[in-house]
Amino acid sequence: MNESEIFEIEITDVYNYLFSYGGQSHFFRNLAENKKFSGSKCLQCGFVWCPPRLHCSKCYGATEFVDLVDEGEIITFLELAIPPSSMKNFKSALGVALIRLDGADTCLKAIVYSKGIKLIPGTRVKAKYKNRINRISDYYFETV
Amino acid sequence: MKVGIVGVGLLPWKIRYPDKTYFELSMDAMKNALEDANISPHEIDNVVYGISDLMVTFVRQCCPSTIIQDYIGMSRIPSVRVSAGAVSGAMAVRQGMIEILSGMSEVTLVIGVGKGMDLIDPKTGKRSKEFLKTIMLDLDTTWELPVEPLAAANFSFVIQAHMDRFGTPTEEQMAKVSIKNHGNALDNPLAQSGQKITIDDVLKSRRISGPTKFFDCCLYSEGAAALVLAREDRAREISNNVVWIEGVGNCNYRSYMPAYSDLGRIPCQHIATKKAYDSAGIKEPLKELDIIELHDLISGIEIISYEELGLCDLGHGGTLIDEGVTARDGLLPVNPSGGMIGNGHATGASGVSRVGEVALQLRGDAGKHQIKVKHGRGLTSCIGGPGISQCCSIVMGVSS
Repeated sequence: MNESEIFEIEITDVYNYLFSYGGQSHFFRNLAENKKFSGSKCLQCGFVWCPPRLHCSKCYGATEFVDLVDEGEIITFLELAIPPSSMKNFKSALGVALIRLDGADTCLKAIVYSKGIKLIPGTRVKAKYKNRINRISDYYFETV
Repeated sequence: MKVGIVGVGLLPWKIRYPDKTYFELSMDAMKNALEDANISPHEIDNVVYGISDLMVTFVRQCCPSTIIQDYIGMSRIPSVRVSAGAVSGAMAVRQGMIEILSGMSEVTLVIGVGKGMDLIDPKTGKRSKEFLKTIMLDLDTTWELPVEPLAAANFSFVIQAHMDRFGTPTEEQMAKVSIKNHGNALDNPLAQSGQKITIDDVLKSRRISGPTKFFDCCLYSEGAAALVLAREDRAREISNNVVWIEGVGNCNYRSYMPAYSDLGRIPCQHIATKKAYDSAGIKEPLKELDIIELHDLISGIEIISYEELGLCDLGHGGTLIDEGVTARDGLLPVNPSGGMIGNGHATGASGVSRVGEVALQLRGDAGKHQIKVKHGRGLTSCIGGPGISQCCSIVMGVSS
């Protein structure tokens, strides 16, 4: 087929959501209202999930929400040459890291403002918050 | 009872096929596979599709397999669609094998197709941001997507963690993989991205995230591939050059949150490939395989894959590329077709074409990029989304 024979049309689809976090809602509500992180602790095996899970995926036990401090250590840090769209107006050097909050047995993925320093595993970080918390991009971490 | 690959149908990889829909591409791939097998469409009694969920947005069509099934004239027979991100194609081959071994089919057609480049911004004429937004839906949309700019960042995390833990791969080693695969693609007439580049070209290319730069990444493409699988007795009737499926393993691992022992590794690939090796009786892959075609979404991932595939100890994958072990004329060529870095990547099509490439190589039908076949055995190992959570590994051989 010649290029001139190809027929193309412009289409724009827009989808509006009222997206529910379901059983994970407590994590976002606790952050939005109290600026506190939450994990969920398995009542059977004691594993602390953060992000929280209503059910323990290791032993299938029930879990209960627990408050966590908003400080922890970097497990892996990745420098970003291109910021995520939620951060595109921010001018400082940043990266994304796997962070284990104190008391949790799993990691969160979060933005870290690195001030141009390559952060190594074990670096201590503390959370900072935007005014309104809807997503995980509405908090970030800085070195302590 | 065994299952054999009796027909391979591959298409050129292109940035965009504006003149073909996804069902038209599927027809082209099917016709190539049937011609290769020298059978008529009426001998197919079952179809398995490897089509990723991304296609719902890419081509604005749910259940695209139904549209394809009608277009390729197979409405009379059963079909099933497999979706597993970038692993969709390889999983479809596995599913096709299962359907034959279960007795539900004698001759199964497997089609993998991916098309996404109609997502173009009419103002700029370039790929729209919605294309990458769609790819990003392969990540955990609550716990990863909002903080990651590109899907490549997800893979870069694994590479960075591996570097933190083992000191490798170095960026020079990553560059050598990029040079190898871009270079191999020059001898593959179907490849999209064959080019001669240097270490300096790679190291100076635009940085994407962490250690990953532009030339370390595969490019997104459009394409389709098809295979004809047959039950052992039918395979022997159809072809005197059958490539047998000797071992299969797959794994659908945890979502992104790693256990600390997982850091910098691809656990799903280790688990899936061990299953495939055990089924096929492979104990020393470096000595028993002639070829590996794997998913080199990013160059550093290929190096980590060498370790997960048991070609070397953990932390030593970089040595294999340094010493030329995985070059096309090396002890065990990896991605002699160019892999994804050299060919391009379209979910669904990639996995089926990796299996097809190994089959053609083992048959001695790979043309200019043919490798020396000594043992008559090869491996495909496809990893993919979300992130690197799923893997399907398939051992093939030409022994009777």
